[in-house]
Amino acid sequence: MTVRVAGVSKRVLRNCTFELPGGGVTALVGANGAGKTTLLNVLAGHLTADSGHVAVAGRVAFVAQDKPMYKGFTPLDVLRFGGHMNKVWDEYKAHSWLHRYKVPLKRRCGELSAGQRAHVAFALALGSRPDVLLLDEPLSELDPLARRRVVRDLLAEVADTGMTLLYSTHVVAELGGVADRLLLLSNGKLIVDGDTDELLGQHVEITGPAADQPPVRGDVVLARHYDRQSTFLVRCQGEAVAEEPWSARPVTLEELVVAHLEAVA
Amino acid sequence: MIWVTYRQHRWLVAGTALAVALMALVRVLPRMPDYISYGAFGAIAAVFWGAPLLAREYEERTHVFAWSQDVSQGRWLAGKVLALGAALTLFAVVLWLAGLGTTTSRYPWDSFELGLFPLLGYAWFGFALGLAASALTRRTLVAMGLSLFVFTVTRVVLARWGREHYLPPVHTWRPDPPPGVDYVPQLPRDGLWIDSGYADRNGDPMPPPLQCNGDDTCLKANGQIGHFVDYQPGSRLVTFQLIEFAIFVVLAALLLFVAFRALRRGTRSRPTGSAAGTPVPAGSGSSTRSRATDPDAASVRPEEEPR
Repeated sequence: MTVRVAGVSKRVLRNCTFELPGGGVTALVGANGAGKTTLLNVLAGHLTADSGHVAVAGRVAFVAQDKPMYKGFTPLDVLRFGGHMNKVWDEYKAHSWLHRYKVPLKRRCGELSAGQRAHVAFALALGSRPDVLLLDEPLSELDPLARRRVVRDLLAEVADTGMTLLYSTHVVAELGGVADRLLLLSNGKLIVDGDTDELLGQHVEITGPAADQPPVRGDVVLARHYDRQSTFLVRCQGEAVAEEPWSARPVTLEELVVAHLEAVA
Repeated sequence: MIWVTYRQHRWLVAGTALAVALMALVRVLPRMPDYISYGAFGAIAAVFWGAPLLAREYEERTHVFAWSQDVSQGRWLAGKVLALGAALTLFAVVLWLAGLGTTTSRYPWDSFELGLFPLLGYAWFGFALGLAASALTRRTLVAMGLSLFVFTVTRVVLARWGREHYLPPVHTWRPDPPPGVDYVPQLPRDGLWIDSGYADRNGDPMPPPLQCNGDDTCLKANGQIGHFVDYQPGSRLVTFQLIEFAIFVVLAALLLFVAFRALRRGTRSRPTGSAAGTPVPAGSGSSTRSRATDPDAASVRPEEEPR
């Protein structure tokens, strides 16, 4: 395991336990205030857990949500800083990221746009060739087009280097096709932890006549009852076969996340 | 770390160089009281070098940026302290050299604080004091005010009430010469006066017989036969400068310790191998280093956490 978190409590976080295998992309999802930033800061070593254990294998890079950096530094200075402050430094990788996103290299970071500063932060983090990359709301400053490019490029980096990427987001619409694993936080508790494909395979939405219980075995995540109709989002054990008059349909990752969050809200 | 320190603090270094040049010029040109021209040097180290060093990082959250790299925050701070401390040392030497020409004063104790060792002591103490205030308060302005206050109080108290007692003073006395003999000063010219007054037949200080009202005959009748002087001889100047230097070096070391402890306490070392000083090369992600198994990697031990 590359990342191991056992029983960590800190601020809002309550007894968080999970493990991440090496490589792959894990999305850390939750509402504002759910503890995503706290968890990432504990993993990055900026906060100490009140209890529990954290173990991270290898070198970690962390990009905080507000992308802090020295305002007087130019992007070139930031890269040089990265070279001086890291045991491993890939100048080419860092440079090409700035080049790809057309970040002016010689303007002070304080005068860059928020999006450009985010790219400087990404370039620094990627240039250090981390084993584990922690990104807190990495896309929040980027426009929708840039978001897709950044996600694509980050995925390419993960595939290229075999690093482990853990990023937090509260924009569930952007999860599809990105994350291999899902960590769902609600009020500091980890409510879902699993492989996205497995999770999608387990969850079905079953619709049929008004009823108290769905016709399949499993945990009801969310139930909605209308006049003549009931809808259940169920996490099934095994195959979910719905017979007439019930109908089952697979759910999207977004629906899955929203249902779980609504269920505990 | 030298480049990082230089890049981040070059304006501070340049500004201080300017201030040092001005102070040295003031020293070389007209006669100025020593405490005006050089007393500021240590205060500059406290207020502008030490106090903002950590507090500004915390205020602008750039500590998250700086400490998210492989270099641990302890090594980061150590690098900065060494680089900036070396620059301060250089400035102190410059000031000392500029003061050399003017220290041939008739009264060597007046130029006590122009010595190389006192200058170094004040600068290092000021820097460490500002740094400790910075680490503890995490607020630049608060750290600046606090360190200026403590620096001034410490310096004034030691200079005015502490310094003369570093060693027991030399005690001399002599019987009052008969009238008509030329007066020879009892205190050597290069001596630092501590105390003086009436002496009895044993040479011991005696309280002035108040009823005599300064009348000589009456004083003699009451056992006053001479005067005593307690002073620190000029030959002790360097010894005293070294003692004062030692005091400020010890204080600086304690304050540095406080600063580093506060730094460690605020955010513990990263749970990775890199923070513990053992390089983990890229691609060796399989070698899991756990906080729990590696004491250097600072396992999470809640009982060590204050509060």
